[in-house]
Amino acid sequence: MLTELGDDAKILAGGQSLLPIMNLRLAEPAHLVDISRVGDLMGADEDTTSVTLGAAITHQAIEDGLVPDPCLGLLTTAAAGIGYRAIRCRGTVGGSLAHADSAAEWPTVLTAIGADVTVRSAQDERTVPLRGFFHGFFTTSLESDELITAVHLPRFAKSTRWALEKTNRKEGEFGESMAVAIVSEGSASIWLGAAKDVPVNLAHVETLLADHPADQVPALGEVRDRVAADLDLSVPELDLAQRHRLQIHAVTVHRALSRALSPEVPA
Amino acid sequence: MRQEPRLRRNGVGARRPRHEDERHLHGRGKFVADLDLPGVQEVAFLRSQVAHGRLLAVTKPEGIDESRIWTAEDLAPFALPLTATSTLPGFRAAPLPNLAEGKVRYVGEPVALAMAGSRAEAEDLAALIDVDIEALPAAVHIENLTDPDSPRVHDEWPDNIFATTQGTVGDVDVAAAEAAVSITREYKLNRQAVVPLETRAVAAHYDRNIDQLVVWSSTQTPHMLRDMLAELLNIEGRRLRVIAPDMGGGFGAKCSIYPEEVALAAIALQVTHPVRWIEDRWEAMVATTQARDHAYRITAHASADGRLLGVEADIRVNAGAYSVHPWTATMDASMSAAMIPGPYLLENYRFTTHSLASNKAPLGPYRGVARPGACFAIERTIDDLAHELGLEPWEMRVRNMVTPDLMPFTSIARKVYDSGNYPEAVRRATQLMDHDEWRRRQADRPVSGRRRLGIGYASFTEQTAHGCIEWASRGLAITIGKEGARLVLDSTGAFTLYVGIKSHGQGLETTLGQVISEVFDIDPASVTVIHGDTALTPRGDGTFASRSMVMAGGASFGAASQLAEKVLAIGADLLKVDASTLSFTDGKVVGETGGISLSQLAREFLFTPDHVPNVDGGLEATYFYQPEVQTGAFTYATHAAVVEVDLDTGEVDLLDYGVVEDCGTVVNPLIVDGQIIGGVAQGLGSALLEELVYDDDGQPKSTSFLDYLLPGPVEVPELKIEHMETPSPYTVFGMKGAGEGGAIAPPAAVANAVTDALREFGALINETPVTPERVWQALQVADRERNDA
Repeated sequence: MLTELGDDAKILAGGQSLLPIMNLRLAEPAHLVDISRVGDLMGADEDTTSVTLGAAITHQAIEDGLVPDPCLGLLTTAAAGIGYRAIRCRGTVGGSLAHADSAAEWPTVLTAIGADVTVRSAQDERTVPLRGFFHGFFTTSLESDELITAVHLPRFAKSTRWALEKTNRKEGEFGESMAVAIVSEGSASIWLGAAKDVPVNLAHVETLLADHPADQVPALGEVRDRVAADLDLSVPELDLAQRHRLQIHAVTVHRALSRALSPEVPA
Repeated sequence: MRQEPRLRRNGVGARRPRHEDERHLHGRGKFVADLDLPGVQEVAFLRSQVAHGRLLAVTKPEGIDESRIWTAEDLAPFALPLTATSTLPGFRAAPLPNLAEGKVRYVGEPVALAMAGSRAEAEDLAALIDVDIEALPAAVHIENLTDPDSPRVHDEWPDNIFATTQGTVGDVDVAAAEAAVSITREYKLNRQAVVPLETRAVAAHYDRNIDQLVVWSSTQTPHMLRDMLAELLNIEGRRLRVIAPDMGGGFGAKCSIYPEEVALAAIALQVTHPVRWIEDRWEAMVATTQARDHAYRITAHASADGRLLGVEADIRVNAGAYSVHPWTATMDASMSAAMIPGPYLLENYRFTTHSLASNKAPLGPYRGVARPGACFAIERTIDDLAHELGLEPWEMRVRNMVTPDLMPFTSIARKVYDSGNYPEAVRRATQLMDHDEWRRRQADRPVSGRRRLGIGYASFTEQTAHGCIEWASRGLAITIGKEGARLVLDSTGAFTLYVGIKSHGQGLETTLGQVISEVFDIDPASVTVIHGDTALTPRGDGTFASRSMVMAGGASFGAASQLAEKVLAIGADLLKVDASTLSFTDGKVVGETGGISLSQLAREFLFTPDHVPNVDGGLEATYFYQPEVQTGAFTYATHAAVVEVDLDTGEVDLLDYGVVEDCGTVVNPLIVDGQIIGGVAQGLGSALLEELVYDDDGQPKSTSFLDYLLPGPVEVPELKIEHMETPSPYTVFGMKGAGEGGAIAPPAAVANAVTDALREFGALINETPVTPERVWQALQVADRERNDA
């Protein structure tokens, strides 16, 4: 069907992003292809090194632990932070990735984890790493005849420590900033959502951490300078409002680092 | 006509769950959208997408049935535009077009409408209408509206000023000369949307059988709507019936007369089918009347011992593009000027107000009407004065408040504060919050830490249930002030009460039943309360200005008292005793030797009137009520907020919130607490979250709940509420209104608490909502000023 209809069709999974946009008449697709009851997209599979989740698995299923979480609780925590319960009962992991809003949980969290997605068209199937999958606001490397069918998640080592921090003004809203820090055996993966059109890898912050004594959290000022560098921002040129946005990102990252590096097990 | 409550089991003061909840909780409510109207055509409005522009042409699409699309030109012969003028000198009225003509003046202004079998099809059709608008620069921000080069919203005006008012009492200059400390502050309350759960909704049908135009509207003011529709459609009132069915709130947004109501009513007379329009949420965010958008410059003078010597206020209100009926574009400014003196003994006061036109949606009433702004202006100032003088802010309040021995007290703005103990409310609030404990915890916070504690108070008087003279003093052409009630005892001995007000969430079906119970000692749930239908109810102005319990309660009590007299006379005739020996107990008329049930009595009287020869016919009474003093019954309160502020982000966590209030005699404690909780929730929205952001072109940027943040259960802490109960000497039972107070003080209390938390840095919080960005910026600015100094 997607091959036949091309851009005139939109895939409808949970409808928690697409339907509001259609209500506002910002999107007016001629056809909707409802995949929310395709059984093949709702299964979960695991082996010793990874877990595969069907794309139509809901946030609620992940939140409630109905499918395996190979990331030591990061997935369930991320799922629980998405919108409100009613939204989580319908919204799907694949739908969120295809929608590609960098302020949403899954694009940033799953990119930080280093997950891949399986993408299928009528003719073909390919595996795409999420790092590189997101091209911009609501745009991905998906072709119009392609559908995300599954997400592959690597298993965290037992010693891996992680933190997910989201700063928002109201419970259940999109984050104004969202930082994921995953620290394991001297290496760190730190990603920031809601800052740009795609999740941003905070390479400068990762370097800062590598150069820093283990288990010690760098000062907020240092983190802010590195985040600015990762976001290509020149601090002296920012106005007060822009400086505050940078500050929010820096504090969010700093909180994530503090949690990931603290001696207690992350919540 | 003051009556002490008689302490009936289920009467005034009873803690009864709301009768109306049952139908709503079971999904049996019936709203305009639920009406089953065979053949109805659903309407979609085409609205301006630009804030200011010349409307060059509106062209209907080719090949479409023309009667399904209406333009200003089509509608003009059948409906006049609404002109909400004021008697204030120099007021410039701007007629509110039903569909825009010549110019569009705000994003969301209706330009044309289309109708079809469903809303979606009507929207498709509306999208085919071609609108040619030449965009003009827009007058948007309150700071710029009186600039000489500002675009003019109304071409024929010399500037953007609806009206200017001024007043002086005492001599502020003498006060300034005597003062030990004088401060000047600028405050701003940004614009808000009013967000009832149910958006606006209108349906209309011309019943040719009885020559009656029936208009259903989700309106707080059905009688007022009927009056205005008759005038604007130029038809006699007898041909018009307005029905307000169940409503999902209004909060003031549904008590102005709207173009959509006029347009649908006019069109219904011209077509053979019903028409209906259900506002969608985007429309509600741009085309329903909005609120706040005030700017203040306050100069205040105090003596060394903390007495408030004088206040000077410059008040600016961005009232939007048009003046709305009946409130006019000066409603906020006139209310604010009168309420800035607040609960204080102030002898010297000078004010200027400017009500300004802009390319934003018209400003209308919203819970609190201008009082959140006035309260913010005076209460933030009191705190800063106290800080300058080294006093606890609560103590500064206590020292300056009107004391009980002065009651009734005529304020400097000529309002009669009828009763109460204002300083006691402040003292109790400090106890309720455990003030000293918070001060200790505050002092214990390490200076090196990045989070600070603050506690803040805000006190106010809440004018409720004001009468004709009050509205006239504020320039309204229509001086609202009386409410009617009709009570009928039927042949089964059951009561039906008909009232002119409209209960749309206030629980009046319950509380008015309690008033009837107070007289007849019956189960309040056995009283059917009919409201919101002009064909059934006696005249009344509607539900707004915290007036319905006092006004309709007074009218219901009057009708019940008259009917009671008659019932006792009938009882006396039937029981062959003197009426003065009879009273009501548990649904019966009882005397020393015997009694008769109301059902027996009604049957006797109505079926066999010859058995009761000495009493005139009719088992009903109608009564119209107004309180004795027309500047209203004054509720008052002190609110207190405890916050924790993150210095790195500017985030504010609300740790605790308390209210000590006095709304006179409480008719139903559950409902009063509900009003306070709901009001505080909305006030916290004003304080921390809600803001309609407009860009320089007048485009509203926060028109969905993605950007316009409303408080939810997580954002509102469990409130501490304490009641004082000083009956008003001027109203039935001593009741005062309680609808708005909750929403008045939270912006001031929260801003005072945040400022208190940041005193060591000298950062002042002078603008709402208190967003993390504003707090953080205030810290940066204070930091820069300290470094410069």
